[in-house]
Parts: sequence; C-alpha cells; structure tokens
Amino acid sequence: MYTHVFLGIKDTMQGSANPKILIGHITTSTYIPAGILTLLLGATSINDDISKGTAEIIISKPINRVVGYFVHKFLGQSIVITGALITSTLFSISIAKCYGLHMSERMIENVFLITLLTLLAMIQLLALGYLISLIIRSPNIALGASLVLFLIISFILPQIVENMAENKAKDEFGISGWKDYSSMSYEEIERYKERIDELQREYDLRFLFYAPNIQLLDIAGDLEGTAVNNIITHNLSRIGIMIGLTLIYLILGLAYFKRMDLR
Amino acid sequence: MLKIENLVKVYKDVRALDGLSLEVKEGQIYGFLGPNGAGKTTAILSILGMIFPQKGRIEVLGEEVFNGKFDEKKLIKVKYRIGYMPENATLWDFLTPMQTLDIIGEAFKMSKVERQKRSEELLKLVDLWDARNKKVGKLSKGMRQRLLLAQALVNDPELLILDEPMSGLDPKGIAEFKELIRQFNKGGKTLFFSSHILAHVEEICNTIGVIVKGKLRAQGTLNNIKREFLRKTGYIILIETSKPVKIDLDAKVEVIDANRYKITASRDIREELHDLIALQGAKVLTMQVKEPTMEDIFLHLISSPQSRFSGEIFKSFNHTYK
Ligand SMILES: Nc1ncnc2c1ncn2[C@@H]1O[C@H](COP(=O)(O)OP(=O)(O)O)[C@@H](O)[C@H]1O
Ligand SMILES: [Mg+2]
Repeated sequence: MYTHVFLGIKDTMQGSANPKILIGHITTSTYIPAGILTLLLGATSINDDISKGTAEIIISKPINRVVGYFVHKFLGQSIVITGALITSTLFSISIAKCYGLHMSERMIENVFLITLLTLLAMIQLLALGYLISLIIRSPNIALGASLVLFLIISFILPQIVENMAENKAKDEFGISGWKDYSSMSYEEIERYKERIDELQREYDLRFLFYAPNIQLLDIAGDLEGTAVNNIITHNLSRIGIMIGLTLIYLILGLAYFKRMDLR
Repeated sequence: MLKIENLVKVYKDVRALDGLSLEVKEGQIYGFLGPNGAGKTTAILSILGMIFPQKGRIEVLGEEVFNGKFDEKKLIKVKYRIGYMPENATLWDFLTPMQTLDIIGEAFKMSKVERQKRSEELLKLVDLWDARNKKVGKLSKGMRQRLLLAQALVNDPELLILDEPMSGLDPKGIAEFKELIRQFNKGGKTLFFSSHILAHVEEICNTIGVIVKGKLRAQGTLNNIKREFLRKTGYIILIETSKPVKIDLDAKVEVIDANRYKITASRDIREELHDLIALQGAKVLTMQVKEPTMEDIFLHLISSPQSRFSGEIFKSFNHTYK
C-alpha cells in the first residue's frame, strides 16, 4: 500500500525524502482504504452472525457469550488487521530499498511508529464498527451507515473544524477581506499562519477527538526526523485519546452485548 | 429433564411468551406444536440463553439455569449435555462439513482424536460422508440441513432441541429425518422439537405440547389429549340447512359455506339445534356427528378464544406439576 508513495517520493525528491511529507502521504493513503475496510468489517461482525444464524450455533455451545464469542472475535479480527498492516509496511520498506531510496534509521523508526499508530486507529475503527453492528441489526444498512459515518468523521467534520480555526484566527488578526491580507507584513502573515496551525491542533483535540485520521495527521506533523520517544511524549494526549476511545467503544459494546437478545 | 414455568418474554411491542409452562420428561419425544408466531422459537432461544425473558423459571437437566435471570455458570455446564439445531441457520460456507464438525468439537473441548472419530461417525450417520470435503456453501439445502443436525449431535447430547427441523424438507427427507429421530431416541435420549405442522409431530412424538399466543394450551400423549377433548369439548356436528340460519348456542360455530356449518360443543346439542333451526323456519337437510381428528383438535385449540374454553384441556394436564 505504501509502495507507490515511496516511489512517488523517490521520483520527486531524488532520495532526500522529507519525512513529514512522506508520513503524511502514508497516513492518508493507508488510512482511507484500510479504515473503510476495517469499519465495514466491524459493522457487519455481530449482526451478520445473528442474521445468518451462526451466532445461534456458537452460543448454543458451552462458550461464554462475552469472552468466548465477542472478545475472541474482536481479538481475532484485530490480529488479522495487525498482520496485514505490518506485512504491508515491511513489504513497502523492502521495495523502497530495492529501488535505492535512502532511508535513515530514524526514518524507518518513524515509519514503524506511524504503522503502530495507524494500527491503533484501525482498532478504534473496528471497535466503533462493533458498536454499529450491535445497534443496527441489518448488515446491509450497517454497511451503508458506516460508510456515511466514515465520510462525516474523516472529511466533513474536519473541514468544518478547519474553517472554524481559520475564522478564529482571522478574528484575532482583524482580517475581514482580501485587502486586509495585502496590508499585512510578511512576518505578520507568517504569525497568522502559525496561529491557524496552533488553533487547528487545539481544535482537533477538542472537537475531532473521535477522528483517528486527524489525530494521526497531527502526530505525523511532529515528525520532521524527530526521535520516536520525543514524538510520543509530545503527543501523549492524542495517543491517550485514541486508546481511551477504543476502550470506551469496547466497554459500551460489551455491556450492551451482554444483555442483548441474539435474534 | 426440561421444565419451564410461567415464562414471560416481551419484545419491544410483542408479548411472545405469556406465562408459558411445560415439562419434558426423560426419554420423551416431545412435539412442541403451535402456529407460526406462537412463540416456539422464543421459548427455545430462552432455554439456551440466547434471549432474555423478563420472568419465569427454566430448569434443564436438573439445573436451574434461569430464575428471573440467567445463571451463566449453570448454563454453560448444561450446554455440554444439550444439542441444538436452529431454524433457518446457515453454517460457515467456506468450511467443509469435516472442518465444521471439528470446530464444533473444539467448543466442547474434545481431543483431536475424539473429534476426528465423532465427525466421521456423524457424517456417515447423516449421509454426508461423500461430501465431507466439499465446501458447505456448495451443498444442497437438504445436505446443509443434515449437517445442521450433525453439528447438534457432536457432543452426543442427552437432550436434543430442534427448531422446526422438518420445514423445507421434501416428503422423503421428512421420512428420513423421522427415522433419525427414532434412532436417536432408542438410545434413551430425549427430544424436544417444534413444528407448526401437525403431521410432523403426530406419528413420531409420544408427547405433544400445544402453544398458542405464548401459552401452553394442551400437553400430554396424543391419546390423552384426544380423550380429554372428547370428554370436555368433543362433539363435532356437521349440519346442512335449507337456508342460512343463526346458531346462537353455547358452542363454537364455523360456517363452511352457504348453508353448511361445523359446530364444536361440549355436549350433545343435536335436539336443541333441530329446535333452533325449525324456529327460524329452516329445515335440517343433513346432520352428522363427526369423530374428531387430531387436526380438528389442533385447529380448535389454536382458534378458540381462551375465555370460552378456559384452557380446560390444559388444566387437566397441568395439575400434575403445578
Ligand atoms: N426480535 C423480535 N422483535 C420483536 N418481535 C419479535 C422478535 N422476534 C420474534 N418476535 C415476535 O414474537 C412472536 C413469537 O415469535 P416466534 O417465537 O418466532 O414464534 P414461532 O417460532 O412460534 O413462529 C411473533 O409474534 C414474532 O413476530
Ligand atoms: Mg419459529
């Protein structure tokens, strides 16, 4: 999945890849297809078993419905996703090496960090998908609903939040129209841009905590060849939110599933 | 073996079980008979802890698995000794029959050797041996139904619960299925199976329970139910009159066509009928007392308003365990 990104980078930058741009590309080019697949997988997990009747077969056996069925199923699917992501990362790195793209050790570390964070995002989406599959009984409706939800979470709401950040910054700098820009000095414009950036990162955390792609991008924005543990310490809140939200989805799902009629 | 007491299950707006009570004794072939929507599947899924009833008690194989709420430990313990075949379920299309039974065996913590042996036995028993390595998705409906039965037998259960096992089978399939059930029962095993078709349970079951609108309306051997029906409500009279009449007696009247009526009454009302019809200026052309068939009794049970017959039949069988 990453391969084309590496190759593209190689062509344009002749081997001196800027990790920030690279990671940004990886994040979106992996996140969108893998994220959609994962969410759809989750959204048809339980309801499909119920409508096909396989849930009935399983639960009629001496298996605990929460641990033996729900948790096992979730773990199984998580392992498959983990395997797929790690394999594709390794594959991409080896291809990139074959083509002679120079990658520093730090950059490889960063790629792995992003893979790990992408994985975290995927598991969060899987947990969200499970919630959907519990609430929406028809697998087909659940598929449609999760596609729409994915679009809203990943693109529409972030666009709105981006506008909010920009408007706030404009307010602060007293910008109301095009001519205000022309009267600004170069430094002022730079400060204005930085302010937008700052506001946006703040708003991302506050209003888009449920959008793992946004958290990923914000973390990737910190990369610029920084050491992995620095990145982690600098983004503890974002990583914490991703893990915390996953747990919340799972706990909600489990609590609901425990008392749910499987028919 | 299996005892259900006053079970109540209300789905959002449907009262599917309305105080259901029944008892299945060891070694019985129990036919759980009722029209579509009577609550048969709901009762069965409750026994297995698939759905949550609001009230009542369920005892299976000597364990009280439900009394207002489920006892998860007992439920799991008991499931080692139960076999269950769902209505309208599909198995995993991408597995073979052999793999399917192997996985089910794993759920019962059977060893690899045991699983292998049991799968072979069962695939031969249900005549799927030749198809053992085909994908389940490629099997015919009848074959998949037989695999569904096989998966219920993996643990050699003491109690086998089947939900509408014969619906969708052709006459030959039904005959074969009944034979399998008989064989299973010969080993002293108990069977509890539901159906909405009298013919499916009539000759094979030694006990039947009739469920209507979430309540048991009759329970016992076919002979007992018939005798009871004759004693309490058993007069079926068919009459043909010279013109339409209004029959206003303490009896259930069905209009067959223009001037023909089927009357079910609790006593011999032939004289009263004659008088009533004469009073309306009509003549009785034919009058015939009919020996009730099981079909008549079943139809009577599922169609009569409960107030009128106040569950007479049910009561007489019920006192033994109430
Ligand atoms: N999930 C559900 N939600 C609401 N009503 C249901 C649900 N499942 C079954 N019912 C209703 O409960 C009643 C009993 O259904 P069921 O137990 O399937 O009957 P049977 O198996 O005897 O045909 C029916 O009226 C049915 O429509
Ligand atoms: Mg049913």
